[in-house]
Amino acid sequence: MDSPSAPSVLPALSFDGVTVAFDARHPVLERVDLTIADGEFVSLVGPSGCGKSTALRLMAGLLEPTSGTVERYEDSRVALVFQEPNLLPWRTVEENIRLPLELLGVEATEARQRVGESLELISFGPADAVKRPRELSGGMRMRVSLARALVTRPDVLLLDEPFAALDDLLREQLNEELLEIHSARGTTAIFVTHNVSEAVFLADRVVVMPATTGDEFVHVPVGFSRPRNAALRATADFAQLAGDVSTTLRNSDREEAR
Amino acid sequence: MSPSSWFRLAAWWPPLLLLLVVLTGWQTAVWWFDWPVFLVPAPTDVATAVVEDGDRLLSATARTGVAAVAGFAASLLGGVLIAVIFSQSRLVRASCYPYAIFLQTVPIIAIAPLIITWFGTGFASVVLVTLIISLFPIIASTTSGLLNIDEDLLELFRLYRAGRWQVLWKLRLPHAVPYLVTGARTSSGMAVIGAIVGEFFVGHTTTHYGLGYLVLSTSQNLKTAHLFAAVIASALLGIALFGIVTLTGSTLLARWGSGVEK
Repeated sequence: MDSPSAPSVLPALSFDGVTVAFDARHPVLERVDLTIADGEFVSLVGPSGCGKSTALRLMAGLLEPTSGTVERYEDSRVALVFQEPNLLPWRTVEENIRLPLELLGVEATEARQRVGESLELISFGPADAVKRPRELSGGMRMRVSLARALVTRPDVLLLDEPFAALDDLLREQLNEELLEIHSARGTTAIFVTHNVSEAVFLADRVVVMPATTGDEFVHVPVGFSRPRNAALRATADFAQLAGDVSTTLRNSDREEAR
Repeated sequence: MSPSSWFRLAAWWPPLLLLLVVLTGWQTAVWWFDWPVFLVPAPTDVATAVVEDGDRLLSATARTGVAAVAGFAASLLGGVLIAVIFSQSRLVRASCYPYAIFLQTVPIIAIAPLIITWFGTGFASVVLVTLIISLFPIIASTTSGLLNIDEDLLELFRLYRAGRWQVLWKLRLPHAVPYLVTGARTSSGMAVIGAIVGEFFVGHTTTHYGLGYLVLSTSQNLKTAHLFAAVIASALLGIALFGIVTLTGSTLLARWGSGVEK
């Protein structure tokens, strides 16, 4: 297990004294240091409004810090999956997946091949590929959204509560599919969620963000071996660790109340 | 007969029946009270007028129809173009939008003399009036379609370093299509009104005229039955254009999906 302060492999991403303040008196993030190792899967949990989404947008480069630096390894490609699938309704499944490649100017033959790979990754056949988003279920749309992110072969995959709107069964199923994709691709992943069980199941490390801006981040290493499957959720160790994370999360919330 | 065609037939019967009842009542009332024909013509008088006036009605309707379609097409093109320009800059939008509303509110009768001074009476002026009357719904609906875009989608495009044109072409314009269809439906109805009003004020000679002139001349000559015939032709023309635009719009939307899928 990597210790949060000294990762054994190259960092994919690091925050150095990052502050984000939309207005000067109420910073959303204050002097945050965070290092994420190449290939690591990190779950980011924390009370509502603690700046999880802001952190993710900094990592994506959609937002510049007010002070401090955000560094990404070399010229790494970043992809973002939102809570809503956000598919374009006038495009078919494969046209939706192809969108990032069009924007990045990837040549057509190459694009076709990559879209094919992505469709395979989410187990979509040729009949599903030509469907429009409204013909798909919520879970299917989320898979397409994931495929659209993966088609760019990202080095860093950012996920902003992607399964929050889905029912528990589907969420667990997609968690497993996501892990398969992660292990196949070795992509660095940062996963924002409210769901502690999901956070622990997926991650190498759970980072608990404090309710009070400026307080320390709490890092909880998750040592379960990979590949992981559904059976892990039923073990006592899993329940123990999830309990620990929940307690940490509750304590951080109580600080806020004080 | 399939259940759906039965249903369609069932939807047609009640209004047809109502029409028959109203026509019969009307005919009876005219006969009973003995109203003079220039005041209230009976349905049979109107029918006679339609037959008598058939050629004139047809050519006038065609003339007005062509002007309405031309003005509507100009509104579609111009409205979308103006909306695209509006969508590119808050400053442009803020400075120009009040003048777009001016189009919506200016009484045509007030600017009719100006239009005649500049463009003369005739087809071009009628199309211009049609354009003025039917342009605003297109501008308003298309502009909101171009701007009402989910922040997440804009971030997605930014993440992949999309340029202004890519955002316009691949996101804003396709997103605005359902809005444009709504605007076009409103606009098509107004285009027929615009063409008739235009002919009324700026667009007729005694040899070349459309429904607007027909309404004007028949009413001035107290040929009320013929006036009714012209009014019915105007209504049918409006319904026809609205129907075509609505049908085209829903065909397009079926392919499009409406709004952004969540």
